Amino acid sequence: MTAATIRPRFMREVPAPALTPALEDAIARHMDEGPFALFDIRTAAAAALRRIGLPHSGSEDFSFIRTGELLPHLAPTAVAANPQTARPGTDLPAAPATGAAGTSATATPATGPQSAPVTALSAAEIAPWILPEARDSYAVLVDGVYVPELSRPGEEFHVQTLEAAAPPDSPLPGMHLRFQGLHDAFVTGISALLAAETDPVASIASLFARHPLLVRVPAKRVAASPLLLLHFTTGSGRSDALTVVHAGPQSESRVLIRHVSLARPVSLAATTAPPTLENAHTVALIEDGASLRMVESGAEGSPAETLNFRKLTARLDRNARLQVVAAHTGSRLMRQAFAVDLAGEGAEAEFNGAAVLSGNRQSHNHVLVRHLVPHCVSRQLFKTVAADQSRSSVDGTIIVALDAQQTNANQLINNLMLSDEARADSKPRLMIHADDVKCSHGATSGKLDPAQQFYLESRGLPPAQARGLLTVAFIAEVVAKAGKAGGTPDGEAFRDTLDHALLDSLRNRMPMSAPSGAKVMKTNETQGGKHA
Amino acid sequence: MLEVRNLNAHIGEADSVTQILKGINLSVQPGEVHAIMGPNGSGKSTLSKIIAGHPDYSVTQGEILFNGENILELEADERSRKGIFLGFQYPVEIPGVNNAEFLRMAYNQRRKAEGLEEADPLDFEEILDAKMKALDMDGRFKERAINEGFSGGEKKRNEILQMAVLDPALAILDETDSGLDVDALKIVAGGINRLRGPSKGIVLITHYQRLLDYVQPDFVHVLSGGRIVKSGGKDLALEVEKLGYDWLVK
Ligand SMILES: Nc1ncnc2c1ncn2[C@@H]1O[C@H](COP(=O)(O)OP(=O)(O)OP(=O)(O)O)[C@@H](O)[C@H]1O
Ligand SMILES: [Mg+2]
Repeated sequence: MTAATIRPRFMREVPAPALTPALEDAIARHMDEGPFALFDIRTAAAAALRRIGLPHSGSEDFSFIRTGELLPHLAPTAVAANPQTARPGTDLPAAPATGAAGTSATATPATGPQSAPVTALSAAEIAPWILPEARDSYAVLVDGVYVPELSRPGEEFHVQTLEAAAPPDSPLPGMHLRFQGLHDAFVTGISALLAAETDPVASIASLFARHPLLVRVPAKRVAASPLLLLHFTTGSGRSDALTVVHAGPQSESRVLIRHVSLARPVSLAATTAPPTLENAHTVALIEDGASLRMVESGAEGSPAETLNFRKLTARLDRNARLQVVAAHTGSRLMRQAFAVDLAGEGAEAEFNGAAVLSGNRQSHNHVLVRHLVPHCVSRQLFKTVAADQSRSSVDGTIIVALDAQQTNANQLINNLMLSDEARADSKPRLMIHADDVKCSHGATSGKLDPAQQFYLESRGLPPAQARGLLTVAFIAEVVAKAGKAGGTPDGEAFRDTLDHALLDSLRNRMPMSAPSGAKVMKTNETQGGKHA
Repeated sequence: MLEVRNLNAHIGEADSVTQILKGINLSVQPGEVHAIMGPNGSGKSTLSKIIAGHPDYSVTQGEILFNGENILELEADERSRKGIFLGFQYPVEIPGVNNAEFLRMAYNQRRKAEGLEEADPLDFEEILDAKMKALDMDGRFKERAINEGFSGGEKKRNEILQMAVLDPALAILDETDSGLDVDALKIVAGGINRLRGPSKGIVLITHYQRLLDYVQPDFVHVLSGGRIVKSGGKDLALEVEKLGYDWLVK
């Protein structure tokens, strides 16, 4: 099964390329690699990318982002496509290489000439990152690639690579182009979503993801424990990931997404080494009456130099529920994008973002909520603490279609500015075509309340502790929602982790005695950004 | 223990200065309870906030000594750790900051300042539970954010709880009795009387005699137009209650 026979045909089908020859070349090489089962999906992502083109300084959707900084890292280069197999400065025992099991095992990603084995991580190395509430239900991705040997997805979720859902081999090359049987309609659905994608960075992630992950929650399943997706980046240059979460009708589930950087600073080379691009696209299909909660961390242990792009594309059917909580401390360039279609009556989507930014860190949010049918609800709450010279933005659009009556949509953006040099932008847009709707949006930017500060100080708390406490209180509302995503006795460990990640980033600036009896989750020695 | 001498203070800057205090003199010795009364806007809260170290007011003349030390140069938190407590007339709500955790932090700051070991969460919980029980406060107030959604009376009771936990040498209570129902008033008065002792100074700012029925003051002062216009014993409060302020303010 060589791809050479497919490539020319594929190239002919595509209209005039708007991308650079180098990127077209990378795409072609990548398509050649296979697995062929992903052909449709990648074709859809590539078509979207060609239609949209790469982001540039005039791109509406990237108004607050210095695209010039991003562009050089966006497309995989020949070098980046062959990540080093070992990290500099590591002497950890090698874990079983992915794909070593051979091509016949459908659950094991195949390795091609270009898709070199991912950096080996040992079970001991990932152990500290496994949350107690997901002890028996986690999946490990290394630089975007699912590693079944390190994973323990448990019984409640079906976790496999997307290509594993397709027949491993087929006598006719043409047959590789289609998933078969029951999966056919599903894959067509994913392809359609990817083809309609409007975010070029997300398209790049889904196009270049080597082994996309498929997470399915069977119909009516009420998952007692959450599934933890552990995304490790190793400093190999880039990580493209595509995760498809399919929540079957009437199911209830929680997915915790933890992004961890295990990159070791390479002392001298650090200044010249290219930043890591972590680019993750998640597609969520939430069927009738299903409820999905997603809690996502920032880039834990990440050096400030990384570029982190996250995209969630979701479609909600009738009476479906989606709740997202994302908390992070930003990076050199972090962008979270949410695009959700409320496509079935009675659907409800909620997005909550908490960010604590210091130094030169950035955090940008882009939201597109489309109310396509009547009686749907969408809520957005973004809280950002901006210190030093940090920058943040929320660019949020709510579209209410002509017949989407009885829509209830709101958006609230609150920024706490700790420095005059920090900057927070917001660009809320409402495009309402129906007449019987309740829509609201509000944005506030302010400093700490002096009356509250005086109250705390008048009880003996030193000013720094008082400020720290108030700052934490400001984002506590969002972080608390992550706790609600937990249902098991241990269900709040992730909430605490997020809490502490945010706190740690403040601690340097505001020496606080750890508030409360909060349990300090021991994380990792590389934890904590290095900020000025 | 508290000596306020010729205190003059204003708020605002440059051409929008409002002179509020115009030469206050007040001396509180250990063991004494003083009541300050006076018409609305006369400067009672301002005086209390200046003693506590509120940064908005500028002291243009005079001094405040606490146990012989001029505290005007000290920040609010330092004054607190030295044993000065202000029960606010309008306690602020602080969503997101847990009431009990905040109290523990404050308690431990005070202990640290006294060279004592910090209390661990369990020990503190015991202390807190006992204080709450004495004030007939529901344990649920531990879980709530500071004053958030508290009723007017509950906020005042929370101030007294904080006072009880911090055990200050000098407590200034600004209209802690306002907005309390009859039973709550007794409970709050009980809290104040428990603090009362030979080493403690207490200043009660109030409009009503009824608190003074439960906490009998040694001295009563009437503040008007930024000055103490009359001082006397506890009978002065009864006279004010009967006659109002007109006869004093001329
Ligand atoms: N921040 C401020 N800005 C402007 N004026 C102020 C400020 N704080 C106090 N004042 C003024 O100072 C005067 C004294 O106020 P203060 O609150 O001390 O009165 P009070 O005696 O406590 O009154 P009440 O009995 O109503 O509580 C009032 O006229 C008030 O308007
Ligand atoms: Mg007052």
